[in-house]
Amino acid sequence: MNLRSNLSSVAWLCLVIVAALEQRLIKLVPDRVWSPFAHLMPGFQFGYVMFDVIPVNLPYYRMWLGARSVPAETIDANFAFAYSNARFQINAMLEPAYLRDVCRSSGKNFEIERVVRDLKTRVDTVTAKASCSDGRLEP
Amino acid sequence: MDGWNPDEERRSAWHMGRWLLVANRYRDVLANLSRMRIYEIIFFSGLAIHFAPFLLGLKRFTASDSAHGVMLVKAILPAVVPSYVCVGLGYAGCVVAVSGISIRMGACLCLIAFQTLWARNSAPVQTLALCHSWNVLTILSLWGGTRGVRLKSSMLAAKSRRLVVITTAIGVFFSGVEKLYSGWFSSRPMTLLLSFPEGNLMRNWTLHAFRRYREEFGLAASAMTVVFELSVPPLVLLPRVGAWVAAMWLAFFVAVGLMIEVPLLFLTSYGAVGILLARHSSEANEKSWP
Repeated sequence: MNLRSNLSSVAWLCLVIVAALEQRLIKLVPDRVWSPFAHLMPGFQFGYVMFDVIPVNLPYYRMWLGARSVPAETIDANFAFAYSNARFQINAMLEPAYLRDVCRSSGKNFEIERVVRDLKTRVDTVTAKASCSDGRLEP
Repeated sequence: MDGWNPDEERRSAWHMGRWLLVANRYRDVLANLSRMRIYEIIFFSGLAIHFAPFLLGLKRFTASDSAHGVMLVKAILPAVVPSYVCVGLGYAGCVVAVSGISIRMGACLCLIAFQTLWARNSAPVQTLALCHSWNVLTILSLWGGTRGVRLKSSMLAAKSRRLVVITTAIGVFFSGVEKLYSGWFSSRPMTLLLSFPEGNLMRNWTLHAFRRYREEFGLAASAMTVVFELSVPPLVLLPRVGAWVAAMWLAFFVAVGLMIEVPLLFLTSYGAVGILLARHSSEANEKSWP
């Protein structure tokens, strides 16, 4: 590859390598320096969700339609092709207000539980409950 | 001869001939599509599907997503560019690119419009595959893509194709390095993933199929993931990439998509690169591969 004629490509690939090492590089920067800029790039904020480190205690949301436990995709009307359950769980984990949006837009009455699963023993513990009726989530 | 009807036979032969002509025409069009063109169509279609939540229900995502917006973009753009303008521009970009009118223009439109949407209102579409999509869109914006379906035009996209392949390979390779750093083997992440509840990140069939062999399969899957991520991307940089590398690449990403609930964009941006790996006979004269 002729280096001079491909200078732009080489520069691009150097940038890509720096970006690929972002998680390592961020650790070299003290938190107080980095934190004001953390909001500028969501990619940095969520960069760790790569199945590199799986938490041993997994919080998740379980939905009940009457006495029946149903997957989130039957409640959540939001479109997410082929990954609607995962989309729901991640959204709810990142931003609890998302559940209020789902309750408002679904048009269904349902119960919701926040459960923490110990992945080693596979034991579930319910940590919070809420109910959605007529588009309002309480408490 | 009883039941023999020459008119009927002539008519069916005529129908069959007509269908063969149609099939032949499509075969010619497909044969003339370069691999880069096929990748572009798959990539931009995946992008359009991924951003469909904005197209289908824009108003649903206004309340809860404020915490995820990029502060800088929110400060500059809220009143200037309404969300529906971004949605319109993004989808126009997809149409322009998929139809082959101009890949560069389509990529520019998608990059600006979708990144603005994502930055301001990221929760319903936030995924790591988007970071790679911004890379691909930047490459196509700066270096261009194919034009139309003619074979000759595919040669113009040789540099873009190389950059897309190498950029993806770097991302996958360092993902493997990161796994080693974080103690991938000692934490047995795939075994833990198989302990996830139903209706979560894992597809239900995976949880049912490997229920009895969670430990063994988890260990094997963990090892295979790291081995793939560390060994296959360097192979992509070899001067001659065999079809088997492309097959391995595609098989890995399809397997991930079948087992874990990942967005379609993950397959269309990372997995579809497998199409670009094996060399096409028409590309034999390119001197500077990879």
